[in-house]
Amino acid sequence: MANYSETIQRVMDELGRLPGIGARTAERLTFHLLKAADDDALGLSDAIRDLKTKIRPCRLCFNPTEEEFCAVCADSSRNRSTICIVEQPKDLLSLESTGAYGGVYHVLMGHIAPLENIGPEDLTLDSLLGRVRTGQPDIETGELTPITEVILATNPTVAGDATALFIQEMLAETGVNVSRLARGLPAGGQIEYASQTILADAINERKTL
Amino acid sequence: MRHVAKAICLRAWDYSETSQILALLTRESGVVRVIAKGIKRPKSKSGGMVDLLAEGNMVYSQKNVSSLGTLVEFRESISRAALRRQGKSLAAGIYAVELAGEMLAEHDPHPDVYDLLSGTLRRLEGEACPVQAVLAWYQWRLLRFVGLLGGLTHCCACEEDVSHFAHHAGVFFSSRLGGLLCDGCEADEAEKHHVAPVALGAIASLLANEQGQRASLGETQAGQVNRLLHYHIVHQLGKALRSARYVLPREQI
Repeated sequence: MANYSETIQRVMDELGRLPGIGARTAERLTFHLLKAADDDALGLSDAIRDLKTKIRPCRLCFNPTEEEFCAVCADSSRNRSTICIVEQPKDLLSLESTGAYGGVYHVLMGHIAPLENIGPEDLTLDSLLGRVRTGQPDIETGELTPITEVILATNPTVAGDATALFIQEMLAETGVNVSRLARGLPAGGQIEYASQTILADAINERKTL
Repeated sequence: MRHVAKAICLRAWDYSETSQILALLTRESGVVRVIAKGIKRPKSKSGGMVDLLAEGNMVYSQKNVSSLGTLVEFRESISRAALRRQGKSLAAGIYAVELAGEMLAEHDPHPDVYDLLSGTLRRLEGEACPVQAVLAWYQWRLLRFVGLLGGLTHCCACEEDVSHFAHHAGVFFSSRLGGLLCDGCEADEAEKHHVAPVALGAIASLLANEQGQRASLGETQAGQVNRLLHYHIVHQLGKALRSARYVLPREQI
């Protein structure tokens, strides 16, 4: 029985290791790359190489960046007294896209998930505690701004709640104000489709008009 | 075939952007695993993703017990909002569902365990909940229901009454032999766990509670019983529970 050459098989195996890519999809992508123009296929290869060699976590907030500090931490116009804590870099981008927040961030790179064996030591919590204690530096002048508020923007899931509760307890000794994103009904959602937990949150956290 | 069941979510894994795989403890059919296609879409019939600890009524289809079922609908009936605002209670709730998932085989109905877990999660939501006491009762009853509690009034080797040892320096418990050991028998057993007098007092309280008497359990006493039961569970499962470190004091793990 004829098999694919070693090189083709290797590409298929590597693509098949990506999340959501099965054997059939890996095979289709491999032959797409084989047929594609050299510039296109090698461009993808170069992009992956750059991703792994040029991107590193920001020294302050762990947001992926090509420089020592990410664009948010390097921006001296940001409010450096408020830190918003997110689980993943993509959460940071979602919050940034709203344009409603002008402070700095801290990316945990995950959440506490006891059943997946992910504990506090797997997150960037030591660094967060250090930042809250020492303050946020201005990258240009080195001037430190004391942190006055920490906003917990973890997901409204059991894992996100567990992470938020852990951080709240961890930061208690620092005396900093800790707040959490409001939770309840999403805009555009319908009460009919909302779960009990969402409805309970919406009622408990209702606002006076 | 389509089934309707009351269910508590024991584990949830992301399967794709919009789908999940769920392990649920049902009252009628024990632990079942289902794929919940498109459940994370905002307008899914189930009102969003099913999270750990969620309790509700589910409809699912399953061809046979060896196949993965398909979730048709999950309607949450009890909100866990209060539980999710308290760190110790939340950790205990996670421990409770992990323990149920580890102790029960799939498609082995245990309505008693379902009711126990549901009641435990409800109790953990209370303000100033005595977490260790609630957990001690939960572990105790769960082990009783699955037949692994062991002998706690007489020596499991010679059947001597061990209750009078409570006034001494305590006794030993052997998970391998399945119960308490008297002074005469414990020397021959290498695998054993020391049970302090305070824990023996707590065991007496739990036994009294099972017989319908109201015996209170302090948090220190409950912590000692949890230490014993956790040792027994780890020995029976052959592995530690992942969430134990968040709910039991570090020296108990």
